[in-house]
Amino acid sequence: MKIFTLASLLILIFAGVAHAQTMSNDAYKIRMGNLNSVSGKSTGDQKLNITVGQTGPGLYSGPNYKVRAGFQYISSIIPFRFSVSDIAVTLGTLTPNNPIFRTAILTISNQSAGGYSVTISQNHQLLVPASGAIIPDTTCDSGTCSQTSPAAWTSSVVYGWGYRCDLVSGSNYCVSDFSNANYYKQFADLSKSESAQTVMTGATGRNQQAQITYKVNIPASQFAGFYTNVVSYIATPTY
Amino acid sequence: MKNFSHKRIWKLVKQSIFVSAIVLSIFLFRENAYAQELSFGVYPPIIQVNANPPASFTTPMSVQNFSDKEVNLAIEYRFFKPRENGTIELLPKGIVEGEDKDILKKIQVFQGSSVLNKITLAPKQKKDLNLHVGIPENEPPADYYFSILFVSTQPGPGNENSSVSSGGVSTNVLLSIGPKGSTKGNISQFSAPPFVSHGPVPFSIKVANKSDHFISIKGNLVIRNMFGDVVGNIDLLPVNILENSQRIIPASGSANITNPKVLWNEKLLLGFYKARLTVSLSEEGPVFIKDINFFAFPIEAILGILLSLGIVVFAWQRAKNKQFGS
Repeated sequence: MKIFTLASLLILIFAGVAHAQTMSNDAYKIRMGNLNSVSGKSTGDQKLNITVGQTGPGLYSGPNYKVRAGFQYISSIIPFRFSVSDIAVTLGTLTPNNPIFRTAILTISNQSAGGYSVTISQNHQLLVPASGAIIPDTTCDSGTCSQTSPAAWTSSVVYGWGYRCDLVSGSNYCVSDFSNANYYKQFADLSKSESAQTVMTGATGRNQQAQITYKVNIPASQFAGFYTNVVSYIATPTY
Repeated sequence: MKNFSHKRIWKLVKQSIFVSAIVLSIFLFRENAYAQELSFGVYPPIIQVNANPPASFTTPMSVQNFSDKEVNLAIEYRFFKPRENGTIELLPKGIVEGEDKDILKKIQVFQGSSVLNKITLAPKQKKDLNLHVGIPENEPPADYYFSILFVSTQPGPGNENSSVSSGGVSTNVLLSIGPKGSTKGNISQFSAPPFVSHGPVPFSIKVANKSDHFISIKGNLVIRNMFGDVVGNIDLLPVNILENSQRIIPASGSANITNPKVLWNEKLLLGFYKARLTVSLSEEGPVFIKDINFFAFPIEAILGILLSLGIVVFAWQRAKNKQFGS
């Protein structure tokens, strides 16, 4: 009896919400799941793509216009979805010559478009708003990395702020800039009119993930203060 | 007594299996939950419009918050440039590409009767919106390509070292205002390795659109062997190619977004093959046809067989010599 009660409780907690379509009049009320089905199949030489569902996809036309919502060759109406695992990446207390690493997971579920790309940028370098003190973007060990060119950054006496991208599991959706495990890049800085850079791409699929590693290292001469900025990720489908 | 204890054990086993099944199904079907996650989506991912002035219409779209936290989204309009692999490059805010620099004033996102430039979504909430486009009578013919971006706006933590994440998703809009000019273009690339030893055979296909409007191509690739028999027939994906641009054409199910190829998945190949590419730039044409040839010889398989034969012959010869020797 106890087992049954526990099992029932678990089912109630984790059960999903079901939406119903309702038809009714004075005599009856019929509830059913969303009506999303058709019968029959296309015949003949031409292939007829039949698409039904909510909120498109489809071809709408009227006087002087034709609108197609969604891709004609992809029947899915699942939203193009993007997730970032952490809204705020806290860097903790920064101490000189002690690099700090933090990670965030990017997830794309793209079942209604043929492909996508995700770009990354920052509004400005890590900055203390009150004093204007900055932690500059890293130039890596060789002094050559930028927002477009990666380079190795392994030395604890090379300072700055940068990132890299790694696969989480299965396929690697990161751009090829990070094929070397020690390579980092600067964030594209919008305050300097630098263009956001592609960090992740993929084709159609569900739960495609990439891990972004943030790295920051400061010298002993770094001004005290709370350094912050905003890193923006923009996910766009293909056209 | 013995039967009673067997019954009790069996009852315990059944209960354990039942609970394990429940727990396992929860773990299998749950979604990963992250602390303070940002997660939202938009549908449709693309809206393609062909309009002749005057025209006024709305088309539905939706935006959904998948996280457990309320999200505030700003709505932005950003023009983009196409890349050959189908991805886009967003142009900086404020840049308007095209004939009419005021085109964005004729486009609005509505919820109900309210024009939106920002939207708040409660946890798990979905909102149905409408995109309205109003083209006046004197609007000149031109194409406009822009993304409607939904970008999160999050306040920072303030009193600690941190980097706040902002996320954005977009719907791409291809707006073509007519009347359209003639459709022009060509097959700018059609190639395959001239020699292959086995499949799959990768074909590189690129089509150029030299029209003043976007097109949606149709095409296929037919492969014949040296006897003239059709041994392969691959449909190309009917992708969009924007005005005055080129696009690499993939086949259905192409998983490589960086450099898409059309793959002929036949494994065992031998002899001369002819591949004919047929592409129509629109339902009314023009149609372009291009042929290439390639040769296949399973050299690795043949070498493997010869090597195996050689080993067998060598072993047989040695055995024979030993027999004669003894």
